Amino acid sequence: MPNGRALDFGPVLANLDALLVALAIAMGVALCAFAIGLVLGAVVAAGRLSRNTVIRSVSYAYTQAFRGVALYVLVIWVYFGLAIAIGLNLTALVAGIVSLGLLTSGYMSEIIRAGLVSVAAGQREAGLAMGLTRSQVTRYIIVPQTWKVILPASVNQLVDTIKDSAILGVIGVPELLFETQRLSQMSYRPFEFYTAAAVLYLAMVLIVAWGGRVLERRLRREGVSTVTVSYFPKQPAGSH
Amino acid sequence: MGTKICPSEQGTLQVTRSSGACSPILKLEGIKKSYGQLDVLKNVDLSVNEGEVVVMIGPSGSGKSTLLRCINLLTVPDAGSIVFRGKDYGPNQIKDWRSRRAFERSLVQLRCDVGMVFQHFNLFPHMTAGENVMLGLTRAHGVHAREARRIAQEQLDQVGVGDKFSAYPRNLSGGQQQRVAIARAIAPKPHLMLFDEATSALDPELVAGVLAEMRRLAATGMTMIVVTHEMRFAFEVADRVVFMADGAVVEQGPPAHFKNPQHERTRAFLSAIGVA
Amino acid sequence: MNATYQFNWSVIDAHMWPMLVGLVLMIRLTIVGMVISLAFGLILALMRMSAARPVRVLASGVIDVVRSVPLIILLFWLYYGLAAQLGIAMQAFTAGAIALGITGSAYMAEVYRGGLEAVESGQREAAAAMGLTRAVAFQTVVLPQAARLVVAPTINVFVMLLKGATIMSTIGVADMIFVARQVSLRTFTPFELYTFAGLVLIVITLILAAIGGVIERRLSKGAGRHA
Repeated sequence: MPNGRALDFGPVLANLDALLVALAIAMGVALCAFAIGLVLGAVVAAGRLSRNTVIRSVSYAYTQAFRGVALYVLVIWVYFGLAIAIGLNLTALVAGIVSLGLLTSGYMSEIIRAGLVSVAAGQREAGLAMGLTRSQVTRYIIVPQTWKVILPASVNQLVDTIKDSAILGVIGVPELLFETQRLSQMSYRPFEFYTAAAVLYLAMVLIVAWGGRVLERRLRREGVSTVTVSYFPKQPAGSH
Repeated sequence: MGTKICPSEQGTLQVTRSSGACSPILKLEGIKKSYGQLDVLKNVDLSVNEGEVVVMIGPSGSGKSTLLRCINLLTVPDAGSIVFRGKDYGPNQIKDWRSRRAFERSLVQLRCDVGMVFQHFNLFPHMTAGENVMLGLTRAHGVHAREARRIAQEQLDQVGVGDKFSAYPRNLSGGQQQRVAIARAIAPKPHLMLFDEATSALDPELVAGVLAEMRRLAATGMTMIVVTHEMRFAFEVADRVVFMADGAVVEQGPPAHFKNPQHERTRAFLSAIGVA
Repeated sequence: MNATYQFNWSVIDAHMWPMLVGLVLMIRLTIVGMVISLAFGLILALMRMSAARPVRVLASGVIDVVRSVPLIILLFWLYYGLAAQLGIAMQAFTAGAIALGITGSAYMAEVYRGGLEAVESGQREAAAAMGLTRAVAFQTVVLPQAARLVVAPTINVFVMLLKGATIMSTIGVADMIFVARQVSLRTFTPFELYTFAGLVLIVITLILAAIGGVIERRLSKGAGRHA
């Protein structure tokens, strides 16, 4: 490398605590967004299975809209567009979490819906035939069987949400990307800092994937068999 | 590559039929196969004469399908010799085939001369019935496309699905699919046909039609090895019935022999399925 | 503070042309990234299925690492990090295309592999049993079936790259988002401009996804075993 320069990870190590704090913030942001996504997603999934055509259509449109939008576009629309237009005083953190949560909810609604419809029709019929009410059937027969579809896909989605959270640094959420940008400009060691950030994201993803596997194994011990999938998300093959 | 690799001249067929009737066309010796701890085949010997119809019966897991798949090396046995028409294709020979190329050439030579019909038909879904039959002719036997088309039509006519030449497998019933698969296997005029539970995946009302095709084929003098659960068919069509259990041949003989089997294991199996 | 935000939808009309130029740039970037992905993804997929264990491990390592790191980190690492480290002047468009190409390659590798592995083993066996060589069996039996299976997931990768392309304005690629920001700094109408840009992108994404869905449904009808 004629114009290259020597690597020096000294500044990275010196600022490791700041990076780890930023990593924790990124994780917190992702988890908050995921929680929002889970709750909204469950509501929308129920809506998609409703017998009311209007509710079903609106829920479907919701899912499609949030699965069709790119996070970066959504977050700047919320933060720079919507908030200003309606005179809302949003912090970057709130705008970021809300945007990421909405995006996640689109995917989660599809995951939960797929889980619910994956249970064979015969199961519902067998439950009704033994005299259970519709809601009892849903609660005791359908929902317990959905975990095998929902759990692995949800872990994939959590990994995606964590990865997507990096984009929130662009509007100033002080997470890992933001902190990396700041420190690399200060130290002028961008290569080292971005490499470190990549490694930290990789570690976070691997830990979540590992946690998912442990959870899956525990569920399997309790008799819930799960569909084993790779923990890498937005598997383009399965996203519609 | 892909042109005339395999000998399939009509002449040889006639000669061997008449002269070598008592010499075996296929001789398996000491076939062993295990998966980890599980011994699927334990030192199996079997020889099949020209024109003979051998039916293999036995409980599931007895190794009969594995043995059948060893004959055309879809499963490669751990040990033993597989002498087909005077040439050994067994694993000892495989070690001698120094290059991958030589190994592949030898495999192709064997498989060109051995037809196989599978339990799940395994028709190619992206090809019509006719194209399924033509593929082996054109790509493995070097037959010209026009001639292959003629042969394919003829073979489909023979098994009673001549009008389905341009139909895709998804539009055929299971019975029709299996007939196409039979036409596909016999079109290159193999010297040996293998049937691996060819009727097990069919709806009951379609089984008879496929068995009729197999009976018709047996009547033409085709050498056949049939793995099946259809006992009536087995005792009616077979020249010899081979009973396998736990990876070994327990006893064999003409169908009449099984009216009074020698081994307790055989008796137990036959009474369990309600034959004896 | 902005309680009296003045909506002015005419800005969209007034700046339609530069916005569309930005959109075209975005699509061009996606296409370049996709072409890279189609080629390198295939190489990675073949490595991933290689008989040699080290090659296989290397390929799956690369695939997993790339899919674990956020695109924006990869982009900044390339554009701000690697370029500076090597002392080369990299254009923003180039960095964007390479970043999309790297990400897309990892996903395409899995798409190709999924397609090839989804062809049932019985198909390979039937082809082998009729005496076809491995090469001929692959070409006539496996590949045509795998090709149908990868069409729809490939469109999904394209959609993913298009969404990924939206972040390229952060390194100064003059795409539609970039134009919207520049214009809104002058006209103070970010809501209208971002809404427009967002809707255009959603519509494109949904159209592509719908096309993928139709193709998938049409082709999967051809692959069933029973009628």
